[in-house]
Amino acid sequence: MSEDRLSTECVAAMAEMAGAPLPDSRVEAVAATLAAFGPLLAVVRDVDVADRPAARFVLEPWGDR
Amino acid sequence: MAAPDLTDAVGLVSSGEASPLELVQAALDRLEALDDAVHAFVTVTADAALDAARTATEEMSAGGPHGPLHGVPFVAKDLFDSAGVQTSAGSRVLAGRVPDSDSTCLRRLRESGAILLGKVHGHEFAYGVTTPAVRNPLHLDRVAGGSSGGSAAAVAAGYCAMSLGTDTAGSIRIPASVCGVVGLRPTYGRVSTAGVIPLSWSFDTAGPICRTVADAAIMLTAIAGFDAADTTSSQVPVSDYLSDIDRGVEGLKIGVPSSYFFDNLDPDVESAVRRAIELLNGAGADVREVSLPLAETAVSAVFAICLPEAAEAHSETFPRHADLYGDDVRTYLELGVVRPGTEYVRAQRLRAAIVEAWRAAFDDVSAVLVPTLPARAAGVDQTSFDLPAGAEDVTPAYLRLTAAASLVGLPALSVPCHRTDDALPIGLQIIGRPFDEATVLRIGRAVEVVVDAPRLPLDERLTKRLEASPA
Repeated sequence: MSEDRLSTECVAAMAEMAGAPLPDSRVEAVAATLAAFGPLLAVVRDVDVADRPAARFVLEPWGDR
Repeated sequence: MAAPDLTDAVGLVSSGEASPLELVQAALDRLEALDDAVHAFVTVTADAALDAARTATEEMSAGGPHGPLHGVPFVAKDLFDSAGVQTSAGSRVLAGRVPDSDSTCLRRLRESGAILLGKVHGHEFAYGVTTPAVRNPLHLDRVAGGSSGGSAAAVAAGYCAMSLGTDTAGSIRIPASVCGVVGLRPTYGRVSTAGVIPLSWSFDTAGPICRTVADAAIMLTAIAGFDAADTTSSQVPVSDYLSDIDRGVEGLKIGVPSSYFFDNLDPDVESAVRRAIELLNGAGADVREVSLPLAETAVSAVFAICLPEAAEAHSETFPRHADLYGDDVRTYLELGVVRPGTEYVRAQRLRAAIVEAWRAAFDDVSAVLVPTLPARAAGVDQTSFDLPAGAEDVTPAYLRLTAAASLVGLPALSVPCHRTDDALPIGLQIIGRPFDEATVLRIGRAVEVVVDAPRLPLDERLTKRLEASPA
C-alpha cells in the first residue's frame, strides 16, 4: 500500500511496533503529515542505489578528521 | 536610526565617533519602539548590555578596544546557550532553562568585544521554516522565515548589524532571503555548535546573519575555528575571509545548474536571479552550465535523515513532555520515530552519491549559483505557494533549493538580488567548495556591487512607530 494512503490503524500499529505508541488523539495528525510527506520520502525508497556507495557521514569525504 | 553596518560600527567605535554605550542605547531604543510589532525578541538583556557597554566605553578611554568587535551589539537565536540568560529554543519544554555557560559561538563573540542585546525567537527547536512568533519587518503581514526568523528580523529591523543563527536544512538562508539580508551557512564543522541545542546532528551548523557580505565575513572570522568541545568541529585552518573579498569575479569559473534548481520558480524570482548571473558574467565571471545528477532527490534525503535524527535528539524529553511541544514539531517527532531504519540508511547512501556529484561539479567551477528560494516571503497564514507548476506547500517549497548544500555539508550564502521595483526581497544562493567560504563571500560581495539591490524600506507601520518614538 502506498504511504500516502496509510490508514490511521496502520500508522498506530507502526508506532506501536517502534515502541512509541501514539495516543488516539495524535494518530490522525501523524497520518495526515505522513500523507503530505509520503511522496517526498518515497523518492528515497524508490531511487536506484544498486551502484551507490555505502552509507557514510558527510565530513568523511573532506578528510580532515 | 537603524544600527550602522558592522564595518561602520567597528570604525565608529575605534575612531571614537561613537561609544559602545551610544550604540547599545540606540539599539535598545529602536527595539523598544518596534519590537512589540516585530516580536523578534524572547529576552532583552538590557541591563547586562548597558553594563557591558559602560565597561567597553571606559576601556576605550583607558587604552582602546580589546577585540575586533569592541562595543558592537549583537543578538543570538534562542538556541545558543547564554550564561545566566534563559535559553529555551522557543519551546515550553525548556521554559526557565538557564545555562551556566555560553555556547562557543556566543563566547567567541563576547571575547571579540561584542555585546549581547538579547535572545531572539527561532521556530520551536529550530524545526520549521516560518518562525510564527516573528513578523517580517519589511512587511508585517509576511513571515520572517525560519528557523532563524528572529535573527534575520532583528538585523532587517535595524536593531543591530549582526546576529547568530543556525542552519540545519536552510534555517539561516531562508530567513535571510525573505528579510532581505545576508545569511551564511558555513561548511559543516567550520563553526562550533557546542552549546547549541541540536536538531539534526549530521546537518546542524551555526553562522552569521548581517546586512552586508563584508559584515558576514567579519562575524565569521570571530566565530570560526576548531573547538574541542564539538565532536563535529573541523581542524582545517580558518581562512582570511576579508583579504580577497573585493577582488571581483574576473576569470572566476562559476556554475549554473542545467536542471532542477530553476524549475517551477516564481517568475520574478527566476528573472532576478538570472539577471544577477548575467551581471556577474558581464563583470568577467566565466559562467558555465554544470550538471548535478540526483539534485532532485536531495530534499527527500534531508527529510529521511532529519526526521529520525531529530526524533533521537528529543528521545529523552519528548516522551515525558509531549504535550508541551507545538503541534507541528510534535507531529514531526512522532513521524521520526515510525520511519524505518532502512530508509535512513538508504538516504545516507544517496547522500554519499550526491556528495560525489558535487565533488565532480567542483572540478570545473569554484561555486554554483542558484536561487535561495523558489518564492518570496509567505503571508503569515499562507500554507502554499501558487507556482507555475501548481500549488506547493510552504515547507517543502522553502527547503527544496536549500537542502542540497545542507546534505553535502557545503558553505552557502544567501545575498539579496532583487531589483528596485521588487516589493519583497529575493535571495541568490552561492554554494561553494568545502571550507572555501572566502570565495563564496567574494562572489557575494561582487553580487552586491553589480546588482546593487536596494535596501527595501521597513513596513510603513514600523516607520510610523519610529516617527512617534521619543528617542
